[in-house]
Amino acid sequence: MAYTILIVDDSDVIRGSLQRTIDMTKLPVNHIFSENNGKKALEVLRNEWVDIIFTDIHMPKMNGIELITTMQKDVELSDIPVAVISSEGSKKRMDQLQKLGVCGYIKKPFTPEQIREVVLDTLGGWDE
Amino acid sequence: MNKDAVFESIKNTAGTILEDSAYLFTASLEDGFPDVATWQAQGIALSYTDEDRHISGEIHMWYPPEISTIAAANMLGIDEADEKALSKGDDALREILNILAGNLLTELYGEDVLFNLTVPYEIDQSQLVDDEASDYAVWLETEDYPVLIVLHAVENR
Repeated sequence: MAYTILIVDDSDVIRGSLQRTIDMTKLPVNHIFSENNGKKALEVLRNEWVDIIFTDIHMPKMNGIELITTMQKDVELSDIPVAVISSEGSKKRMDQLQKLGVCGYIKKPFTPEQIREVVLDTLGGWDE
Repeated sequence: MNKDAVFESIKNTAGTILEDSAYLFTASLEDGFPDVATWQAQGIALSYTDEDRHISGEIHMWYPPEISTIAAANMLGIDEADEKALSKGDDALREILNILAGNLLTELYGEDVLFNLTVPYEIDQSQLVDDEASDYAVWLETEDYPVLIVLHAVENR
C-alpha cells in the first residue's frame, strides 16, 4: 500500500519543502497533490482518491479551517483525515482544531519524523 | 517585558527558525555591522494583534537579496543557481518571517494567547535607520551576511 497525499499551502516554497520532507520520511507514497488554497483542494478531493491531507490554516480564498468544515458537511469527504501544519502555537487554536477532529497538528518548522508519525498513527503501517 | 530576556528570545528563536526552516546556521553579529544608511537590504514585516487586542506590534526582518536565494534553494533542495531559487527567494523569507512570528510570540506571551498575524509585506528602506535604533533590534550573521530582526511590541493592558 502506498499513500496518496494532498498538500494545501499558499506558499510555493512550503509546498516544495513539505514534498521534499515527505520524500525524506521514506514512507511509500503513490502520489502527492499540491494546491495553494482550500477551494482548489476541494476540486482535487472531488476527483481523486486522497489518503491524508496536510493543510496550512491561513490561505486566501478558502483557509484551512473552512476547508475542514466544508469537508465535514460532505458525506464523501468527511472521512478523509486532515492534519494541520501551521506556525501558530496557541492552546486555543489547538483546542479548536481538536474539536474539528484533525488527525494531527504540526507546528512549523516541520521535520520528517513529525510527518511520518502523523501518517503512521493515522493510516497505520504498510506491507513491505 | 524584561528587555534582556526579550532580546535573548528574539536571538535564540530567530536562530532556531532560520536553521530549522532553511538550514541557515546563524551566529550573533559581533562586528562588521553594515552602515544602515547605505546597506542594500530588503525589508519585510508582519503585524500581529492578540484576540483581546491587548497586545499588538510588528516584526521586521532585513536581509541582503543573496540570503533569500540561499534560503529558497535550501528549503527546496535545489541549487542556488536554479531559476526557481532565484524566483522563490521572497516567498521563502516571508514564510520564515511567518514561522518566526508564530514561534516568537508563543515564546514571549505563552500558549494561552491567540494571535492574528497579517500576511508578510514589504517595508521601505527608509524605516531601516529607525529599526536599527530600536530596543529590540537583533543582528545575526548567516552565510557571512548580516540579518537584522526587529520587534516592535505594544501592550495596552
